[in-house]
Amino acid sequence: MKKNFKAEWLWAYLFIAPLYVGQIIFGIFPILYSFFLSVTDWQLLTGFGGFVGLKNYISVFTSPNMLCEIRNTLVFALISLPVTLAFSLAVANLLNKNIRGKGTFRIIYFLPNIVMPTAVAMVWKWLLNTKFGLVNIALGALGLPTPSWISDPDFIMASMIIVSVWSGIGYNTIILLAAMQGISREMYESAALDGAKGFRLFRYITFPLISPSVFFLLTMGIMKAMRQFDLVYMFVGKNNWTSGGPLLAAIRTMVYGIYFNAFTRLDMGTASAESTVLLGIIIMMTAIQFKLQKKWVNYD
Amino acid sequence: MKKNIRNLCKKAVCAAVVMSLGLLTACGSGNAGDGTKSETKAAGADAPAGGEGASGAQTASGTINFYYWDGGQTEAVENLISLFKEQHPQIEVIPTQIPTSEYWTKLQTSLPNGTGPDVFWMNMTAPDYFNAGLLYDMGERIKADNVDMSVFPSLLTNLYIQGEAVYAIPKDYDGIALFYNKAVFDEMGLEYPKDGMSWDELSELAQKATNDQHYGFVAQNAGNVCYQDFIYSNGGRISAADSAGCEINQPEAVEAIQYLHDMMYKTKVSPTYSEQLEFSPNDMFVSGQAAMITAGSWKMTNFAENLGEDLGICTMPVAKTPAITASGLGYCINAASANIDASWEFVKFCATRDGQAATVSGAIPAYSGCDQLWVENFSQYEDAPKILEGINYEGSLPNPWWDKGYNDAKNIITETMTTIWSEPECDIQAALDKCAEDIEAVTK
Repeated sequence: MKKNFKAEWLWAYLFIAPLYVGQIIFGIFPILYSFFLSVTDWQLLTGFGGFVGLKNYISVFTSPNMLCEIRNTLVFALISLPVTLAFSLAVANLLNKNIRGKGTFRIIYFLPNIVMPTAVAMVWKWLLNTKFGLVNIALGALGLPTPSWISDPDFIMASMIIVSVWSGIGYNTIILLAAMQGISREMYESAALDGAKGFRLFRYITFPLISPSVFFLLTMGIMKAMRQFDLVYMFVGKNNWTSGGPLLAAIRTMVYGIYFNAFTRLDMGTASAESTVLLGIIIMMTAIQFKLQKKWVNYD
Repeated sequence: MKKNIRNLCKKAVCAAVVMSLGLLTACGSGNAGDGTKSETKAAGADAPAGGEGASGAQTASGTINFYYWDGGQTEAVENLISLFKEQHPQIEVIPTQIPTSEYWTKLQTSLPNGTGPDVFWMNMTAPDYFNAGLLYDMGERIKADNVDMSVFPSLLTNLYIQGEAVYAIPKDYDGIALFYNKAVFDEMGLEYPKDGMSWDELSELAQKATNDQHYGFVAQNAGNVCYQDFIYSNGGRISAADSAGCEINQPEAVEAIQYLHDMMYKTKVSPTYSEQLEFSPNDMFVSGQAAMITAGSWKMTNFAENLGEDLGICTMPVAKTPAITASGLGYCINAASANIDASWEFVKFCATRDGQAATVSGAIPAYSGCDQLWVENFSQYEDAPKILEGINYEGSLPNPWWDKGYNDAKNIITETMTTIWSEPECDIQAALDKCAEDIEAVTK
């Protein structure tokens, strides 16, 4: 009996080995290695320069660029995620009804999710062009103000949030829709018998029953939003001659900063310190979410 | 229900098996690859010890990797390699084009661990690489094989020389000129721009060529094709002559930047910085939204294709002395290359007249006399030879360079300049004073 048990145990590990080994090599090891790098001075080209203690961390929390990156990352994540979720809930709720062409709509809403982020940014850059963009042409035709979406420091963060909401709705909607379709008809029927309708049905039946999915999207979403990079890079950071100035300062995120420190300044130590700080912030936010979930997530 | 679960289990097991097989084969092929690599490395390391210098090079054979970044020059690169192949059938050169945005990252991550290309393009950032011991010193080989370096402009060779060591063979050089769209001037009934206009003449002409359809000139946030040239022509510098410290806050430089800034925000003859972010300066020029632009020789093909007969060329505007940013690319060899002999054979060929002439469709060859071949590509423009003049101007200087803290200094410049261009009410002197102070702090 005991021998059998051991054999099973071995087999189990053997079967999860592919994933497990990959995770250790490409996941755990780099994380530990970057902890190590964050207390050293390592310039990409010239090599290892010895231990420097907390110097890199001090520069993360004192450099104006990096403070600005921390602020932008938080602003972006804390605005874009709730907005995405609110829209996704609304869309999923609409698609959950028996309407004509439901399948087509689902595909249309999901499409942005399978487009490469770079392509999304390129297309939106064109859509948001001040003079020639469709957005401003439409706004102008309606007699509304036509701001410089992607070249005005006051608007570029809003543009970035709009684009990320647009591309995030599809995935979130599909998950929420699946959860909504798992709710049995009887629930609604009995609630209707009790006189509930419209928004109250959503508030007291739908939402509590899909809350585990919402929580899942919220935790995963915050991790993803905190790692925003593509849009910053494509909107402003890509061109060597434009990296800097108020426009970049308005949207540079922590991951952009990590990239910039590592591959433009070639300073791997500072880049590692900044990524460790980012990891810390993400862990903290996730911990808070797990604490708060007890108040609103319904697992029954 | 039970059946479903059993099916699911079966599927999961299959998936696990397939995945583990995949991983195993991946590991297997990885090992095989490493094996051959270390073998060739060993062979390459033996070769120079066996036959020193020239004699060893004659028997060079094998495969070398060659990286370059400009997709527009692919034809030129292929030309060069096929010509080389005719003379050296035993050496295989494999070219790879890596987009500019990833090129430097690729070099920075692959060279230090010895997996980089054997031969590759390099620009003025070469000191970063040779100071880190990543570039092969060709000095000895150049002497042994009697390669004549005097056929290249000295401004170029100097970019890649440190003491006795030579780290690159010049490939091409940049010509910078003032380009204009004849259609705009005809439409407005204006005379075409003249060679070497004074700044007053330039702004006056730009003023006249500006209307609600197009701007007269584009003042760009680009050092090598715009503000640097204006600074140099006004007798200023950015990095100090001793490559430490900064002179961008001296009156000559401040004047030049103020002049360009005024074109954007005071006389409004140039698109503002934010307009340029949405519509790139070169696109504005070829689409007729700007009458004049300063640009480099590498834009010539694009301009000629888009504007045809309407393209006009004259030499850069002059404040005190004619000057441009003198720069050019070079061919480098990876110090850790597994096959230095074959790499040198290829680079040596690139240094010959034939090798340089083969790349004429891409850029102005550095080899003395070959630049005329480049002009012949554009024989429909009688003014094309004017693009070649800049490199010989007395006032021409290379891009700013600092021996210490170059990357940080360059970022400080970029950030300062971007801030200046994006703020209509910018106090330029104050911004540049701060910039110079910050740069001195990292470069001295």
